[in-house]
Amino acid sequence: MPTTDKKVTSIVTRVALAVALAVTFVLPLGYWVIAYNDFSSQLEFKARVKATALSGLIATLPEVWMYAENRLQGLLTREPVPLDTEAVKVYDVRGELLAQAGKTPLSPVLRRSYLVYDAARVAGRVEVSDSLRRIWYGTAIAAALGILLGGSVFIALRTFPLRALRRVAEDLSANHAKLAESSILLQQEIRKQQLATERAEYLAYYDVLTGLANRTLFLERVAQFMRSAAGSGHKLALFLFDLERFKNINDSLGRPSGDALLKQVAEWLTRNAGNANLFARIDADHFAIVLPEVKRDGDVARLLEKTLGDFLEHPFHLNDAVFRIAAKVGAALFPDDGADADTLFRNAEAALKKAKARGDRYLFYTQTMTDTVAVTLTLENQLRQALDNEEFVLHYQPKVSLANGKLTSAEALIRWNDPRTGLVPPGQFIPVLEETGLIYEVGRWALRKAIEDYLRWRAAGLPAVRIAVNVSPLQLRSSGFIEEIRQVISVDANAPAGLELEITESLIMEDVKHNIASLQAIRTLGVVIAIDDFGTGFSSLAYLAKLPVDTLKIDRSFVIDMTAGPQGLALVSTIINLAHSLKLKVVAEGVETEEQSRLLRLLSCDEMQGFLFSKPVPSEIFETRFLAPLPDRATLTQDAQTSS
Amino acid sequence: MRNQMAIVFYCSRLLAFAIASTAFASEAAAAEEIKIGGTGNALGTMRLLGAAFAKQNPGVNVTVLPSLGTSGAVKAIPKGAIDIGVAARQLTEEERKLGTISLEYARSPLVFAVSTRTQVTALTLDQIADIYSGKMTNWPDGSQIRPVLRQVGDDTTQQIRHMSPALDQAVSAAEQRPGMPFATTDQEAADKTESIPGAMGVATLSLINSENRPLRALTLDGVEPTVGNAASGKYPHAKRFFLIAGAAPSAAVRRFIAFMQSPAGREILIRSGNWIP
Repeated sequence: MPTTDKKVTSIVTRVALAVALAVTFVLPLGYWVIAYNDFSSQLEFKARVKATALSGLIATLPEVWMYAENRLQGLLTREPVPLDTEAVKVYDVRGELLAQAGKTPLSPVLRRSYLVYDAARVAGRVEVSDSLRRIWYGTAIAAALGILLGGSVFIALRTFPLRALRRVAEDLSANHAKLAESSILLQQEIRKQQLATERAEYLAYYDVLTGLANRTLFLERVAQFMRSAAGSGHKLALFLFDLERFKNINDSLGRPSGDALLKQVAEWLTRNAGNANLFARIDADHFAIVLPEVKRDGDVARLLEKTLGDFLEHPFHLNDAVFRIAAKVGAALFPDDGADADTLFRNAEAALKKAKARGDRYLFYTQTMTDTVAVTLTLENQLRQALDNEEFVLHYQPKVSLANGKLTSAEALIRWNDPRTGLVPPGQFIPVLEETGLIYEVGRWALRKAIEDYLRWRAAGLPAVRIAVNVSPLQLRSSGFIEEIRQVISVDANAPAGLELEITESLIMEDVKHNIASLQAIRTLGVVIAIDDFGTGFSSLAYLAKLPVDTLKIDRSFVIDMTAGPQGLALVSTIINLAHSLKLKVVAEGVETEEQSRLLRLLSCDEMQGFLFSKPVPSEIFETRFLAPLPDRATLTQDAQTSS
Repeated sequence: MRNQMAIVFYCSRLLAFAIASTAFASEAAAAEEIKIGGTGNALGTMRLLGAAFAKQNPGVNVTVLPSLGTSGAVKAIPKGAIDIGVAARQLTEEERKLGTISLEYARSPLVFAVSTRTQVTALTLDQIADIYSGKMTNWPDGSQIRPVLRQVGDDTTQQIRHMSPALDQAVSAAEQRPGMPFATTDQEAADKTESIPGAMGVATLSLINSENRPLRALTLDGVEPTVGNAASGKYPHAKRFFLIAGAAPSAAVRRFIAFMQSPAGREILIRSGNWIP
């Protein structure tokens, strides 16, 4: 501080000195310059005036003007203006003094001359001189004033700023400690504010108790998922989850216990779903879940069933006691139940309210959805029971030779014999079997059953025919499928001759390289393979030639179109020719009319299958009608032949 | 004084004779030139003399320059810048040493004059002093009096200063008064006295008459400034005119001087308001 003080003092002193000196010198110097110039121009002007007057005289007396002393005197003294304090001298061209007037000025003297002209010729020179003393006196006074003023300036510039600076410096040092203290306090305050802001931001988007998103953040996320769902064309589901009897727990065990339970629920949800971003706590005992991608309505139903079931079974621990909590769910689907997040959420709330009022475990906002889910879930349960209760049966549809009308083989078709409603059409339960994965078990059962029937017929001495069994995608994709076939046919050495696998064209083409290998392996077991629904799966002809298959089945749609016009007929003809050129046997499916039958025979199709000959029938009927050597069978065959 | 004047007069007669005789001796010279210059009061008369002389001497060209003043003539003669000078005073010893010769050829009343338009005919010396000093500023008809001043060293100014102490002081006072009309020559003084309304200047009767100027010479202290009153001494203020020349004047100059001495010349002088002393 003292060093700075000295420095400042020195700087201020120097500046003050510089300004003071400038003032001291500028004043007299300025005065002198101005006064001198003024004086000089005055003298010059007078010289010019006198010279001009002289020129007048010279014009009058060109030769002798220089002698007209009296007149020169008069001119110099009074014409056209009288002399003041200056002296005037007239010189001729040789510099000789011709006349002079006025008193000799006191030194120092300033002289100014002007040439005298006789027309254009220079005739002499006028010199006007005057004492500079007056200007010197003036300058001296100005210098005195300058010193006085400079001194004042120096005092003013040095004393006052320094005094003010010292006062400020004292104040500053006095306040320095205070400032430092304030600065720390301020920083602390700023940090507090930052934390508060962060906290406020967190509170704006998160539930403090569970750490899950709050309603605001959840709805933002749902809106985001909705945009993505709309883009890719799939559905989205929003569930509102309400804990039952939570109020009782809160009231009886106290709020801390209630909070602990809510935390456990949040943990359970996160753990089970894996992605915490899909959950939110809305308020008290309300949670929300979003399923960003729903491919099938059934998925939603199963998820709901499973989640609610698992939840109910989960033991929550509170105060050393174990609690099981049930929940009610309101669900809404996008885009069916709302085009924006708010609407979807409101509708889920409405569904939840209704579910609570009606005592349902869950409700969809749209009743039909609730119904569909209910049906799906019921069917699923029933199908499980059907498997356990052996309610599934195999019906057989015969395939006959178009050449001679004789039975060649049969296709086994699964039927569900529901004890409550009777036979259920396959379209109603096969998709559910595939969705639920039950098809895996049912498929295995069908294989075993078909082999069983074949061997039974054979043992009974009946002319047993190969039985074709449909392979589902799940079965084919399963790594143990070949092993399964092997096990099924291992029951008897004759078993392979009784089995044919029908695999749809589209299924084979899904992973054609892998399937070629699988089919090859199956064929080595002695099992025959047919391509089902041919013409619908966009076969690659390059692979078709390589496929290790024996039979090609023309899809029923081609058979129907065949009689509609020449194009349909040409298509079937082409398929048949193609199959034959690949050394494949051709079977036409869905033949229902005599006309179709005749045309197929004409096109050299090998076999046909369809209602024209027989619908699928239970094994006992198939056995008696097509295998037993009875007059009925002959008649039927005869009928077929007659009708073709 | 009278004695001294007599000697001077004698000498001038002698000189005139000498000059005239040499002039006659070399008459043969043709297209000669005489340049005359000097005091303004004498120039009008010189022009009349020159014209008359030129008539008689066709081979001689007489030029009378505008006013040079007495001092100008005195200076110009030794330099040969002019042939004949006219002065209103006698030469000093130093001037004589340069070889210049002079002779008094005439005198004329020194007068205070006003324009003939001004309704004033007489003044006293005291009134004139009051006019110069500024005590008297208006003519009787109420119009402004404007005295025309001459330079301080001018012989006319010196002369009126000697008229009375009051007038001496008054002239000094007048020189300090601003806005006074001022003239550097006798002719200019006459011009301004004529042309400036209410002006009053100093002139000689010779100037007024020879140049035929519309000026009125004022009666001073009751005495009219006529040649007769002046010659008799009744009017005490007069100007003396001296003719000056170089040490070796030309024949023409000598003839001109002779002409001035001749009856014809004398007549012109007297007619012009001069008298020959």
